[in-house]
Amino acid sequence: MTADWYDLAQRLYAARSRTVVARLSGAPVPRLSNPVAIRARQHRAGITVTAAAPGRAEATARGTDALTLLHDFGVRITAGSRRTLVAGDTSTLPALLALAHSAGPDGAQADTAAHLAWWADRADFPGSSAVVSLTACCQARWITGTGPAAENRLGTWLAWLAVPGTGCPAMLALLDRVQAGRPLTLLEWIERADADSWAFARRGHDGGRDWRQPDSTGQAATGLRARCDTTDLYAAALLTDPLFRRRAVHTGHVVTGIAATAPGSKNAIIVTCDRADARLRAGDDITGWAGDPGDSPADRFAGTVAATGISAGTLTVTITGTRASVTPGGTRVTICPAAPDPMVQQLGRTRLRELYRTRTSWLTTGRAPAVVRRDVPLDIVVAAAGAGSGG
Amino acid sequence: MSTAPPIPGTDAELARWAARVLDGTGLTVQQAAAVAADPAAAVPPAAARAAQALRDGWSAAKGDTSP
Repeated sequence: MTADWYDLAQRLYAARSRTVVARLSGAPVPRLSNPVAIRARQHRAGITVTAAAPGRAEATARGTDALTLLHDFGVRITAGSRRTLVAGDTSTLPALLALAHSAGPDGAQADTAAHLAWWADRADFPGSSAVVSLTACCQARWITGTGPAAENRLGTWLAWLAVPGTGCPAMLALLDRVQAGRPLTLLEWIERADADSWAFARRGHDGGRDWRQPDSTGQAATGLRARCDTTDLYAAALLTDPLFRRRAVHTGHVVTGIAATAPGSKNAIIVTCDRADARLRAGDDITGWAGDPGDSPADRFAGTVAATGISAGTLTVTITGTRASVTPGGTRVTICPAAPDPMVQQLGRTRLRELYRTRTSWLTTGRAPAVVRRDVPLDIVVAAAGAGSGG
Repeated sequence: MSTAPPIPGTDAELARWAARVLDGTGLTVQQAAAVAADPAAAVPPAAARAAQALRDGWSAAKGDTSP
C-alpha cells in the first residue's frame, strides 16, 4: 500500500503552504445541537472538571461539585435532550467515568452520573453524536504539515486552524470548524442509533436499572454487534466522500480500471485494474461508476465480485449481477465496496437479541450445536498431518 | 483560508517521520517534495511507486486546501 507516501505529499504541501489540507469534503460528525466542551483531570485531591457550552461561560469545579456543575450544564439523563461531549484529549472521558462512579445511587448526582455512563458507552461508536473527540475528527477531516504524532495534540489543531482563545471555549470554536458543511452520507443512521440508545438509557434509569451492573451475556453480544455494525457503517460513510476515495485508491479500498464485457454473459463485466493491491475479494458486493474516484455521479451500477485473478502482474476482477450495457467495453470505472444496509444491520441485531432471549436457543442453553461432518479438502488434511508430525 | 503560526519543533517532527516513510526509496525529503510537485521530475526506478503516490497526494492537496 502506498498511502504513507500519499500522506507525505499532503504533509509537505501543507508545510509549504502553511495551511491544512482537506482529507474530506464533508463533515465527519453530524450537526450537533447541544455540545458541552469538557476538560476533566484526575488528581490526588479529586477530579477537576472544566466545562463550557454555547451561550454558557466556562466554569470549573472539583469532586461532587463537579457533578453539580455538569448537572447545571444539562448533563443529566432526565434532561429533555441529550448532550454531546466534546473532548480534546483522551484523559477526559476516563476521568468523567470515575466521577460518575463516585456519585450516589439517587438524586440529581445519579442523573448526571447516568448521562456520563451513557457517554462512556457510546464513545466506542465511530461517527457518534454522543461523544466527539476533536483531535480524531480533525485528523479525519484535515492533514497538517507536521508529523502524525503532533496531530494527537489539541494545540496543534488550534494553531493550524488559527482558532482564537483557549480552554473549552476554543474547543467549541474548533468544533464549529469540524462540523461545518454537509455531514457525510450515512451518518444520520448513526445519529438515529444514538437517539435510540439514549431513549433506552433513559427508560432504564426511570425503571431503576443501575448502569454500574455488568451487561448480561445477551446485552454484551448485541452491544458488540452494534459496535461492529457502526464501524462498518462509518467506513462506508467515509467512502462516500470524493476526497477520501482519492486516498483510498492507495489503501486498496477503491479500485480503478478499464471495464470489458465478460465473454458469453450480459450480466457480467471484467475490470482490468490499474493496481494489483485491491482489497476486493470474491463474494464482496460492490458499487461502481464510469469515471474517477473523485467523481460523484448519480448513475451507478451494483454487483458482486465473482472472481479475481492476476495475469502477468495485472489484476482482473470479474463482477456479476450488473448489466454489461452500463459499462461499454473500454470504459474507465471506479469500484468500491457497497455500503451496508442500515436496516439489514438493525434486523440482524434484533434477531441476535431474540436468540439470546429464547430459552431453547443453543446460545442461551449453553449446549454445543450438533456436530456436522463433511469432506475435508485433501490439502488441508496434508497440512494438518504435517503440523501433527512436527514437520 | 487560515495561515498557521510557526510551531516550534514540528518541522523536525515532520522530517523524522518523512525519513521513515521514504526509507528504501532512495529519496530525500527534499527530493520527495520536488517529485511530488513536478510530474516531469526524474525518478529512480526504486522510487517509481512512491513517486506516483506522492504526485497523487500533492495533486489532491492542490485541488482543495481550504478547511
